[in-house]
Amino acid sequence: MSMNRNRARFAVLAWIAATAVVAGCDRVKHELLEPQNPGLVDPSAVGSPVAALALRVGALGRYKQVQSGESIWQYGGTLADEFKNADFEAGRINADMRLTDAAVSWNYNGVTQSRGFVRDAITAMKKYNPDSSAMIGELYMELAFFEMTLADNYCNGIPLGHTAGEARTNGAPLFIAQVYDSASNHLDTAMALTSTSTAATGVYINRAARVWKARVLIAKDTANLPAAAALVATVPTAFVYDMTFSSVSGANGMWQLVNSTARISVADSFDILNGVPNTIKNALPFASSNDPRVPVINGDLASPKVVAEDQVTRPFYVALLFKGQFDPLVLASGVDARLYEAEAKLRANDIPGMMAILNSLRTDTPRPVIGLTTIPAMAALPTPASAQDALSLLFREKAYWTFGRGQRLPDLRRLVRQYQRADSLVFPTGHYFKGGEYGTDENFPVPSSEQVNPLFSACLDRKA
Amino acid sequence: MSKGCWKLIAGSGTTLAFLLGIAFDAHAQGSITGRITAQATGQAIAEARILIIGSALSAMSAEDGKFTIRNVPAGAAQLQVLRVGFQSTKKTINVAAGEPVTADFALNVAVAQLDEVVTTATGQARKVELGNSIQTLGDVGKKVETSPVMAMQDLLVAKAPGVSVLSGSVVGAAPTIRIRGISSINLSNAPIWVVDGVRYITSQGANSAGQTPISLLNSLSPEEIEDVEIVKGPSAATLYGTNAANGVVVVTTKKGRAGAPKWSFSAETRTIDDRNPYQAQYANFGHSPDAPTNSIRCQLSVMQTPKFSIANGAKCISDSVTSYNYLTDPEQTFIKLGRGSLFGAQVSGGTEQVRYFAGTTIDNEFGPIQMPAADIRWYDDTLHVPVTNQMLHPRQQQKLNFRSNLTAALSPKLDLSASAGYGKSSNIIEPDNSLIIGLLYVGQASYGWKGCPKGTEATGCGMTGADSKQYYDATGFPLHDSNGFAPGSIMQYVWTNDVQRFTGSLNTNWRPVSWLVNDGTVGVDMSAGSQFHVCKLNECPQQGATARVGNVTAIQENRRNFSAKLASTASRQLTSSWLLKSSAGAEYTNVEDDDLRTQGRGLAPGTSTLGSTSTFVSYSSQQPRAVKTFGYYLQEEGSLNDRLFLTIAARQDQNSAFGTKFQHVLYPKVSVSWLASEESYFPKLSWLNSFRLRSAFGANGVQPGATAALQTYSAAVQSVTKIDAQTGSDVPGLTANQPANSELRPETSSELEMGFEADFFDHRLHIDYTRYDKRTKDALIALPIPASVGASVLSLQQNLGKTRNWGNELQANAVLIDRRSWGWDVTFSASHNDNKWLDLGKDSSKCTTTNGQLTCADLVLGAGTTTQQHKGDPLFMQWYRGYTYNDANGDGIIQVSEVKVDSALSKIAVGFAKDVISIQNGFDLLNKRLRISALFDYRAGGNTLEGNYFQCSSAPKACRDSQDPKAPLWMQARAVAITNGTRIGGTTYTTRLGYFVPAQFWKFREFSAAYTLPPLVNRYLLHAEQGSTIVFGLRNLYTWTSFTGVDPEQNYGVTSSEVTQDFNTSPPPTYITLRLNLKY
Repeated sequence: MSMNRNRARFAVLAWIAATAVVAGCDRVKHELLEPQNPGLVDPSAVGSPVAALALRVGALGRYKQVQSGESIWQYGGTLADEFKNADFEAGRINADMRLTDAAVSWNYNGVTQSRGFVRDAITAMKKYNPDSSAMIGELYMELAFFEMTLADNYCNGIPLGHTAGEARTNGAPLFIAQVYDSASNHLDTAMALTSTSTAATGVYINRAARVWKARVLIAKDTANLPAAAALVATVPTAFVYDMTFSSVSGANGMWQLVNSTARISVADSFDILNGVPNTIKNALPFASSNDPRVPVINGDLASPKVVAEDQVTRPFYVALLFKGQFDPLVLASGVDARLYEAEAKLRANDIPGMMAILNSLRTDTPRPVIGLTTIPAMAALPTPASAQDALSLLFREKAYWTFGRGQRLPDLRRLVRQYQRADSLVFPTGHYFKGGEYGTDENFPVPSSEQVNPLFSACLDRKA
Repeated sequence: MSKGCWKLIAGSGTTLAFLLGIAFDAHAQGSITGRITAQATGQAIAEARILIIGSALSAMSAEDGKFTIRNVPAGAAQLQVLRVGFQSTKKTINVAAGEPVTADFALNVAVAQLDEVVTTATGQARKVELGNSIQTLGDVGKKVETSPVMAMQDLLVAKAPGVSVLSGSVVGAAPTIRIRGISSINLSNAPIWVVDGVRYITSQGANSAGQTPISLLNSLSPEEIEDVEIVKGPSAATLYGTNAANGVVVVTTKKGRAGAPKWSFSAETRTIDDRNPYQAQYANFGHSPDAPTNSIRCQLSVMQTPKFSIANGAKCISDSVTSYNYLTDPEQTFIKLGRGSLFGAQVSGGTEQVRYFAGTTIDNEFGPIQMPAADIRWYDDTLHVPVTNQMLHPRQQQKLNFRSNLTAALSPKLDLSASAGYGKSSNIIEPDNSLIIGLLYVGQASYGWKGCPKGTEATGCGMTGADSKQYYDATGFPLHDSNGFAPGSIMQYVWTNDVQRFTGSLNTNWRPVSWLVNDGTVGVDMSAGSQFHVCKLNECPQQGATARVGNVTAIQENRRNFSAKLASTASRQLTSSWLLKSSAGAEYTNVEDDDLRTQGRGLAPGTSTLGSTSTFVSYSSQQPRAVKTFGYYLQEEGSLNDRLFLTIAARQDQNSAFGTKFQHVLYPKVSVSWLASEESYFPKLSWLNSFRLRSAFGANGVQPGATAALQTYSAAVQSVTKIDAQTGSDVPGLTANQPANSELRPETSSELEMGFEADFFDHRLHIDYTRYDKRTKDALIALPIPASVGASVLSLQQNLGKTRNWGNELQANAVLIDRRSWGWDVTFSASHNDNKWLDLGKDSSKCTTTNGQLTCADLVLGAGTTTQQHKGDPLFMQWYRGYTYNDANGDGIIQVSEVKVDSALSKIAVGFAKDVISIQNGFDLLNKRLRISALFDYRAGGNTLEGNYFQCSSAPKACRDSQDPKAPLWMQARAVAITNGTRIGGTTYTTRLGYFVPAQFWKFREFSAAYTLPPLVNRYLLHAEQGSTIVFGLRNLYTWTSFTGVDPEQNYGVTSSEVTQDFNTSPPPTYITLRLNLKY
């Protein structure tokens, strides 16, 4: 009996002691409780030259923010005349109708946040790979691209804050000219970092930076056209700086929205309203003009059958520029460079010079390539009779050469802002095909979600 | 070894010394045997619990009513016998050392008595000792046998005050369960589940847009449940540790009983009938004054009327109005009767030393969805494609459950229990919600008429412009919905969801001495989920250019949970009046999950596997991610004369999700229970049998996400463009993911509850009332970060907020009539719950300085959006623009100008139900062989976003609101408000307010008629024992509601803002069941 009792006491002691040790020992507890998620990367893994390169790659991946999902390239295109909304959702219809809503962002967050990711990559590259000038230059160029995109599409009143470590600094709303200035400065840095490079990468980045620098200069003021033309003079027409896609990194967002889910259709200059043909004033006939730079198919009961999201948008035009889900999208090109030169000629009242450049693009070989589409030779255009006609022709040509690349909306804004053309002579106007009338918006408002920035309340103005 | 370690060991040593000191006080021992019988009939009572008050000793009576308790200390022992349905009885016995003592009990029937013993974190306890409310469902096995219970959620709906259950509408779908409302906007408001001592994962399986998520709870079969207890809030759940702040559902599975093998067989057949009032769509045919020969659909808001002419704004001249209800057209509808069946077998038995239980259930169901006759003919005659079983019945479930429990008394002091459950559920789910290609979308979005006028097919039925539809598919098959997708095409989608699950636990109960009980449990809960979503080549609807090239999505999900816990309880009779019980325990849980998702596109004819796709589209994977919790607790209970019970406890938890600067959290608990009616000075009233007051205070928490405190980077491959090329290279890259959040800690809720329980009129009426008040501090608030600063996230969680959640619960059980041949009993439950923000922190962007004093405004979350959080408001307050309307010209039609929508949002209401009532009537007839039971439940105080908003504001806008000139004005007005709105200052303002409507209803939830077969039938026809029953049951019989949609429980899912939507989702169908239960 006594032995049993002692055994019982010993067992009790062991039981409680085990509980106490497990309960009390920090080391045991830490082993039991160590956070576990091998799928995540912790900060200790990013402090090396290799990690800095990985951060650079991650930052370059942010280019996709302008075209992924319902993004600014697609819906900037609907606000302009490139695309027509084929979706039933009111916010998307409103963008198409030029009745924009500050509640809808069109991935404003993704675009402006990307600036932080790029800055982080620049910091890491400068620290761990300071000699990789071309790569660092490319990141500065990307930083400028996002600022340029913001200025191209959003209203006056864009904040540019920044984050350094845990410190976040809010930005005050800026006029788009100031935002272009910021982009311009970063492009200067990019060009400086690559100006002396003879390596292929350096030359390549430098050319892209020059194209965007020229674009920014022109967007800021047409007085900069000569300087812009000079900057791109050495950029070959065949040059392309692409956004590429793959099965691993993801599909082309334009393909997804236009070709796969059929949410937006290539737009045209007319549609059908209540059974009656309806002309959309100022809109270019992208779909019906049979221009090889904007190849389309009419997606209806004919093959291949394509159904628009809302079943209303008839005919539905599928863009063949993005017929493959991994087809590249052009960010900057030698064609862009020639178009800037053409505009510089126009500004210098050298209309024949402008036409020579435009016709050279239409007729010369080798032929320019947009994405995977080699543009066949086209007939030369006659020289317009007046400067205004030449301006219209230039912007029309540019619209076709740059279709779906986020350039049409800023160009329409420039026609209003820089060439003093009335809104009613530039943007889509009149009856909207799903009912109602086109509005008068020429850009997107900075979304209301930005109001958590205490320095921001709303657009400074909605001017072009 | 750390200082903390030594301190704790020292503390534990002190406790040990205390306990061992008591051990020297051990007595000589004897044993008690006896038999439990019913006073009225003399029949043996099995499963009665016999306790020796003040000790760890207890026993359960066997089938013959006999019990034995060994190792009872010599001296006076106070025995108490507890059994559901009988009055508790006490008796004092003198035990002599080394000699057996006999103690027989004859129990009186308690007509309205509930469970007296409940499972707590420290083990089983008498309910009278607890200061908090614990709801027991009681004798679940019998409930399942005698009422229409198909899934776990059916057991809980309308069964307990304060417990709100929104069932999934599709078989196997995840229910939304809330206990005592909601307290958090960022973390889960769902309770945790514990099955046989093991933390049970109940989260829903992965889903893709358009498919109802299947619940992991689905793999638990009600057939194998013995009892369900609902631990409602922190005051009761303190010792369950972090994550139990929203309550705990404690499930105990069936165990074996000593005696000869007892077999039971069940067979059930069921019919599933979707009897919901789906709405017809309307077409207001007209023409435009601009093109009189072209037919268009008129919208009421711009239709010409005698008082609204073309000249003053009308744009359409109406010619005729038709209506069509796709879902009630016998030729077209895919809603047909569903069928189901269940077969189950269980056996239990054993000796006093070894008892066993084993059971299996097979449950198959075809939902009330079936390919329409017209579509079958289309496949057979036109497409020449065979209609597969899956296409014919695209909503199916097959479930197999097996459970085996073994209990062994290895010695008089040591019990070992093993529990093992295996469940396999295979579901086929039709695309039913949200998707344009979903069946319900198609069914509720017809044009408003059937077919075209003859000869107009080729021209789009004579309609033009925006109304020119694809009314026929390429093969000439007529399409009656707005999208041109035939149900037969949609039914070609194959979406399967298979889950295999094993839950096992091993429990030891060791009583080395009479005053000490040690309980240890280890267990695992593992589920492997597999989902496939396949559209073969040229199958499924043609949505987009690539829809019919064939695509495959495969998802593999694995979840594992390891639980271990130890608890020791020592009892000591301190004085003749005071009894002390000291408990110490520790618990560890490790919940892991991992998953892999892959998608490919482009299939060769006949293929359906991922490996046969031509294009790899995407994949994502989640390596094993773990959330680990370690906690330990101490509890001291004291009882005075077995009438006044005081409890003090504290639990300390550490969790892998707490920030690096926040190591642990302490949850305290205090409770008191006073059986006042037992006091000598309490008035002896003939109508009052017992009266107990109780109160409890306790705290608990909910942890943030598994890695919410860590700074992390994400890895992703990017395609980087090659120099002067149109191609890129895939290169691995990194991006910042989440900044460090080292201060992060759990949301901590503390709750004070007070209440009473009373028995009246010879125990015929039992009333249980509870008032609770729960305060949550450190509520996680995602503070927004302006996108323009370029941070990697747009918000950062901080422990800033405070919320309050309070309410009342009442349950009354009454036996109104109890005659020998018949009886009538009623159970009434009611609860009301409110919540509000006490604090949200300050908005640093809205500060002013007055006299050098900085004052900042209260933070508002979600300003400008539909869901806003304001101090003083309920959580998830919904904000919509208000609108007014007035038929100014008196033409009975609401024109655009007659509706005024506000430009500003104004707060409206919340989505979650605040008031829940249930009434269950039970009638025992025919000498109590027939029991008829009817359950009604009521829910109110919440709102639902009615799915009609979408049909009315989106093409083809064929809802009655916008098409039928006879539609009430309020109906027309809400369609105008959401579609046209009001233009103010160049901006158009619309509102969904008219469609955010009260989801208030009374529902005839359950009806059952259970007939106990006569002895002659049992004996000679079925060769069965007494107790065999045949049961007719109905579930979701009828709904009384002013809800303007199909059904207020039509459940697209509870959004993160706790708002339900009935968006193109199946409403709950009616179940009709017939079941036979045989006992051998």
